[in-house]
Amino acid sequence: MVHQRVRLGILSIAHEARRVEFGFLRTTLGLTAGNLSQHLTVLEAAGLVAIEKGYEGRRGRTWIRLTKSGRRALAEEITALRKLIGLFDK
Amino acid sequence: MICKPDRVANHPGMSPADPADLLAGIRGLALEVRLAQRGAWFPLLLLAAATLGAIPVDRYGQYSGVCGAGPGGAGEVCTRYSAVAFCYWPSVLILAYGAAGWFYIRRSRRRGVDTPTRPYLVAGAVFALLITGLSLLAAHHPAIQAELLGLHLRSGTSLAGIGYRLISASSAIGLALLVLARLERSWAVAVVALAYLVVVLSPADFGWVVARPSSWSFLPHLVIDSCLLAAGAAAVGLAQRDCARGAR
Repeated sequence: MVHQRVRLGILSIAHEARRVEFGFLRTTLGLTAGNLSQHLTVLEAAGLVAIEKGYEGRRGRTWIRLTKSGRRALAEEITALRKLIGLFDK
Repeated sequence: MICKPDRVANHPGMSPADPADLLAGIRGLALEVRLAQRGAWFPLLLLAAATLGAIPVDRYGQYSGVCGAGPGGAGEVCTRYSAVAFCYWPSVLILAYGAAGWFYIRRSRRRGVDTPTRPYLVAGAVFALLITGLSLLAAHHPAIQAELLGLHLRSGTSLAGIGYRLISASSAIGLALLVLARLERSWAVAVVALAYLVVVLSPADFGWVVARPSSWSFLPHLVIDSCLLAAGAAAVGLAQRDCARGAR
């Protein structure tokens, strides 16, 4: 699941900040809102991200935070990628 | 070294599923997030203003003197300090860190990415209060200034001077900046912080000396420190703007 390119991107971005907003993810990854929502739903169901919805004044905001499982999954994926690169280099 | 614009365009969502490209994409995304989080120019500018604000405090504050026996009972050591300065520095630094916290929170809400600045604000306040306490102690116990970590130092030596400057407000500012550099993972801020600390702790005056007993003898040190912080704010701000442009 984490190996999927967009989801890997979501986890990578969330890993760098305590939490990121939906709009920032959408702009940075170049996705439509619907596409991003689908990926977030999958990641939330797997327990890799936590989604917090709130308001700032009248404006609705959705914040995404990486969970401990998400950090672990991302670290494992990066380790696996590095091993693959090592194999290719040999 | 500071930013790699050629990698940033390779988002995992766009590039082919090659492991090396995926890793490069992850690095690029991490860089974009860090660029969005950085805002060290603001606290640097605030601290430059705070340092300049100390000029009237040092010039017009009432000075008191304390004399006491030197270390090992040898000779007499005297200190001269301004009580107003002991109130000014911790107050203005805590206000500055509060303003910086407000800036980062507002910025994170606008940009949609949180910046973990609390450690910097806490470290800044702790350093400010700790160093104020140590300075107060040293001001009322002159022999302390001639002893650094148990070593007896002759008054007027470079090492004694460094010990005195280590417990100054400038030192507190520099140490907190190192924490900020680590939080923002910014080489630019780290270089500014280290350069600032080197100038603050060394006897460097760049040839500008106002000899005692002039009432303005403190001026070169404050102006140089303030200019360093302001120049650092400009450098860091420009570096961040260039990186952000390269990332687009």
